[in-house]
Amino acid sequence: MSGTDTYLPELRRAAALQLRVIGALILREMRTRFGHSKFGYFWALGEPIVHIAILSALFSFISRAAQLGTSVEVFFFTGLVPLLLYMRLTQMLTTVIGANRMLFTYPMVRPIDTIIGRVILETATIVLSAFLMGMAFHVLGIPVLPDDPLRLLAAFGATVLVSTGIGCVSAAICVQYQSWNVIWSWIQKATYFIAGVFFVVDTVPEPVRELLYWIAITHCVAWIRSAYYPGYESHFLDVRYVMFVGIGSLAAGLLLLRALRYKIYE
Amino acid sequence: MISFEAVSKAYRVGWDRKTVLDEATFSVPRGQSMAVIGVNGAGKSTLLRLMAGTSLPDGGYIRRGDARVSFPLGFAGSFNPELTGLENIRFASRVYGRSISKVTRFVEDFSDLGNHLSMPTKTYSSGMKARLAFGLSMALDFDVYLVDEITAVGDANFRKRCEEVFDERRKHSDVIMVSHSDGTLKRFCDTSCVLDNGRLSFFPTVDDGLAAYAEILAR
Repeated sequence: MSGTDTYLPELRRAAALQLRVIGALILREMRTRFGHSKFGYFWALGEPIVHIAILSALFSFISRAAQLGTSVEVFFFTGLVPLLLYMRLTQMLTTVIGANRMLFTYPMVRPIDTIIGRVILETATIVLSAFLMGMAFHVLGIPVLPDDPLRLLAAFGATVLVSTGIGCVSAAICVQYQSWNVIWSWIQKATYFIAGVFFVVDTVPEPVRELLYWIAITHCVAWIRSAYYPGYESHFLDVRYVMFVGIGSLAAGLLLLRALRYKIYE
Repeated sequence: MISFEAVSKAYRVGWDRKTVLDEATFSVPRGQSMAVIGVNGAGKSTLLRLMAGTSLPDGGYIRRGDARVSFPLGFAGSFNPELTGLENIRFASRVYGRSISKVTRFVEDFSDLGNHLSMPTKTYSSGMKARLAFGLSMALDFDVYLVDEITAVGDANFRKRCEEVFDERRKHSDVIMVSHSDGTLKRFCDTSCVLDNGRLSFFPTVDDGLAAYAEILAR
C-alpha cells in the first residue's frame, strides 16, 4: 500500500518534468532551426506548399495528367506530404544527438526527450502545412476530401512510426559514425525519386517493383493514396511489412541508442 | 546528500584507460562544502559530472535524494552558441521549472552583461560566458553547487561579486569545488577530498587535504 503511495506521485512528478523538458526543447528548436528571423518558422510551413506548386506547374507545363484523380496538385499533395514528413523527420533524427549534446549538461534533458521533441515538432509542422494546403485547395474549388478519413489517419500514423523508427536507427549510426549524416542525405535524394510520389507504384513493371517493395515509405505513399482516392486500391501495399519495419526499426534504434549511451554522454 | 554506491568510472586516453573511481562508496553530507583536490587528469571534472548526473558511471549507483544539484559550472559552459544569452536563460528556467521573469531579472542584475544578453552566446568571451553561467546557476537556486574552476575567470570586480553572492548563498546551499587556487578552496570549503589514481580520500579540513596532495606531488 505504502509502495503505491510513494510511487504514484513520484511517477506524476517524473511525467510533469519530462513534459516540461520536451516543451522547452520544442520552443528552443523552433528558435534555432527555423532561424532567428520571425519568418523562419513560416518557411518550414511554406516549403511543402512551394514544393507542390513548383512540381504541379512543371507537370502541367509538360501537360502530364494526374495518374490518379483529376488534379495534378492533389496527386502530388497526397504523395509529397508523407514523403516530406519521412525525409525531414529522418534527417532531423539523424543529427538529433550531435545537435543537442550540449544540452545534456542539464541532467534532466535526456536523449529520448530530444527525439520526442523533434518527432512532435516535425509532425505538427507537416500536419499544419497540409491543413493549410487542404484549405487552399478547397478555396480554389479543387476537391480535396479523402475517401476514407480513418484509413488516412492510420496511414499517416504508420508514416510517422516508420519515419521515427528509421530516424532512430539513423541517429544511432550517426553517434557511432559522424559522417553517416552525409551518406544519409544521399540516400534521401534517391528516396525522393523512388518513393512513388511521381508515379503510381502499381504501374511500375515487375522487376523494379520487386525492388521498390523493400522501401517502407513507398508503401506509406501507396497507403495514403489508397485512403484518399475512391476506387484506387493498391495491390503493392503490404500493411504488415510497413508495421514490421516501423516497430522493428523503432525497437532496434532505441536499443542501439541505449547501447551507445556512454558515447552520447562523452 | 549525494551518495555513491560502488561507483566505477574510467575514461580512455588514446589506448589507455584512466581510472577515476574504482568501486567508490561514499556520501557527501549536506551542510558542508567540500574541496576536490588532485593532479591534472585525475578526473576531478569527471567526478563533478558524475555528481551532477551529466556523466554516466560504468558501474554502481549515484543517488541525490531530494537535493537540487546544479549542473557543473565551468569553462565548458552549457550554452547553445547559436542562441542568445536570454534564450539560454529561458531554456534553463523552463527545464528547471523556475519563473522565467525572475530568473532573467536576477541574471540581468548579476551578470552585468547588458545588451550582450540579446546576442548569441558564441559572441561571448570566456569571461562573459562564466558570468552568464554563474548568474544563471545562482538564479536557479540550487542546494548543491558544483563549481569547476569558474571563480578563476573574470576581473577582480566580478570575483568580488561572486564571493558576495556565494557567501550569501552558502547559508543554505553547499559547494563542491574544483580549483587550483588553495586560497579559493580555503575561502569557500570546509572539508576536502583528494583524488589520486582512482582512489578518493576524505579529509576533515581543506588544509589536511592540501597536505596530503603535497605528499602525492613529492612522491
